[in-house]
Amino acid sequence: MEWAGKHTDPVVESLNQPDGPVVRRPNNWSLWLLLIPFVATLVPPFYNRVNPTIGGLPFFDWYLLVWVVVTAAILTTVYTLRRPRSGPGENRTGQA
Amino acid sequence: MIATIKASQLAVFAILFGGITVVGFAAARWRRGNLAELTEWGLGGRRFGTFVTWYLLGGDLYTAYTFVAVPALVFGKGAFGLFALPYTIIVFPVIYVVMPKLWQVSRNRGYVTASDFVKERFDSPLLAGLVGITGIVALIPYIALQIYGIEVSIAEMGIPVDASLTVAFVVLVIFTAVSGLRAPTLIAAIKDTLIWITVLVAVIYLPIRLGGYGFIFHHVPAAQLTLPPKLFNGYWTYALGSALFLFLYPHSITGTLSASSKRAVERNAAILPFYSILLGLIALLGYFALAAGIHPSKAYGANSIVPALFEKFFPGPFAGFAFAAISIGALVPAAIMSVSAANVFSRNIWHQYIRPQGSAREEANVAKVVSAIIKFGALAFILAVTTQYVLYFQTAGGAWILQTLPAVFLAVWFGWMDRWATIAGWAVGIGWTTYLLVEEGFKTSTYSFGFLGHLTIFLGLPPLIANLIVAFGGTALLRALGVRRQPSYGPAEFEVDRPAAVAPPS
Repeated sequence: MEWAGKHTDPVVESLNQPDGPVVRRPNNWSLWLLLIPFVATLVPPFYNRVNPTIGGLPFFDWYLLVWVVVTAAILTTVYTLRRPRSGPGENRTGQA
Repeated sequence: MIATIKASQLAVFAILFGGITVVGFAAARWRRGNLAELTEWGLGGRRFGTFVTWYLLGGDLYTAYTFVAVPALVFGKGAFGLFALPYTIIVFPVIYVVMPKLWQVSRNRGYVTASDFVKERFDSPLLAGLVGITGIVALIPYIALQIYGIEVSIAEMGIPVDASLTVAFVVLVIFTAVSGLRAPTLIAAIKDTLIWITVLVAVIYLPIRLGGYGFIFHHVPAAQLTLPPKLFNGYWTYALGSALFLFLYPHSITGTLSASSKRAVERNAAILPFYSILLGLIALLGYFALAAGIHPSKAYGANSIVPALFEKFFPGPFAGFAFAAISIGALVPAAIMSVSAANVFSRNIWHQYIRPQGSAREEANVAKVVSAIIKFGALAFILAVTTQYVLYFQTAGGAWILQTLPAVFLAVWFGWMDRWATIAGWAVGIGWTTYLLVEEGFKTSTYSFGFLGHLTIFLGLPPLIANLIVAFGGTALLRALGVRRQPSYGPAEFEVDRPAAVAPPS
């Protein structure tokens, strides 16, 4: 395969001026939601205990397993919020 | 360790292992492409959809680290070993924020490795080469961890370890050379099935045999079930550091770039966490082994407890099934890791510096040879480093690869970083990390930093902070001195398909 060439495509170049117009990226604010799992799981005092247990499983363990599911839900939410609202095409974001 | 060979157990193991070998060779014919080209051999032609990407990445990321190393750490150090859960939770937000953009720019510009991206983003073949070498070196201990995982399973069956490991190793070397990324991708589907069956049986059947979850956790020393406050900082720094470095590893990037669309990558960030449930359940096996009174073997220590647990409680043939699951579960990522490290060498070292005029066929051939050499490097690493907890193989490589975060992840979002400042940051980060790892003899990745009030934490993070300070401070300084930034490209390249994109082979 050839090296992908230098910046030769005029259409892309027009989109790509470093200080030029930015393609609109929808709902980047929703990315802040992704900080929630960090806070919930990186601060052990929140869950560093054995009780209450579920079916014998200590709180420490099931709390983290629940957060796996919650994190998947948060990611799905963010994915849905950021999807382009109109326009065809797999990879389009912003104006089509 | 007294182990007797059980015929039925060995038969099941041999049939499964032989079966995946056949699949590995047959994979060359799957979704046929020209395997003499690196995009085909090393990236499966960039056309795996959401679902194939899901199990490829699952097979790629959930390795002997998950099946052997994490339960071993839980067995030995209790809740501290569960840092793997926060790690495999917060890694997905990290992926979501960075990888879809990296996929898009790679598709638009035909990148196969992170170094390809770095080379054009910073207009710096030097930085690209440094990132490439870091990736290759960092993968060696991680591949070593996989081979170790196969070794503990084989040892538990009581068959001659050296001979059988050699066979497994040769199989791995040959089928990656023949089929490239296609082999581990197809086998990943089989691996997932074997692993899920093994784990579900383990977390249902073993508690029944042992007297229920309540009984198990009642028999684990209470101190092991929670985290002593002095380990808090180690716990969260390991989790955060691991989440930041996992997708800097070349094999993670290879797995991601082989997806067919940006949306497939985004969707995967949301569905991959389900493998983390699996990881959490496997981690609990460390507690099961404590409750069941499993004794660590002399040769492998705590790293042997999962195979020992299966050997003790599973019926012979199913234990053979479980050992095959662990071995194949280690073989798949080892193959992807060596393919990806070979991609990096071939494109960013060989093609860049040694023979720029070489043909595409030569580039792919070099990759095939290098993928074999790297595996031997991993084997040598195992012989050179003896460790109490094999988990630290992964974090050692991780501490190195973490130092490429500014050049790869941050460059996806920010175009203003200066190449020389980023190179200087890398040098500081790598130098400090290497010093610390050598001082610890690679036996652990924990370090007590005296100047931080004896904070005992994952040793990769302070070098990363120094790295960032140099990269940012250096950029500000160079701009203040009037040095202009290198040519780069704008944000659109990360967002939309290029009108005349480097077309995927059809």
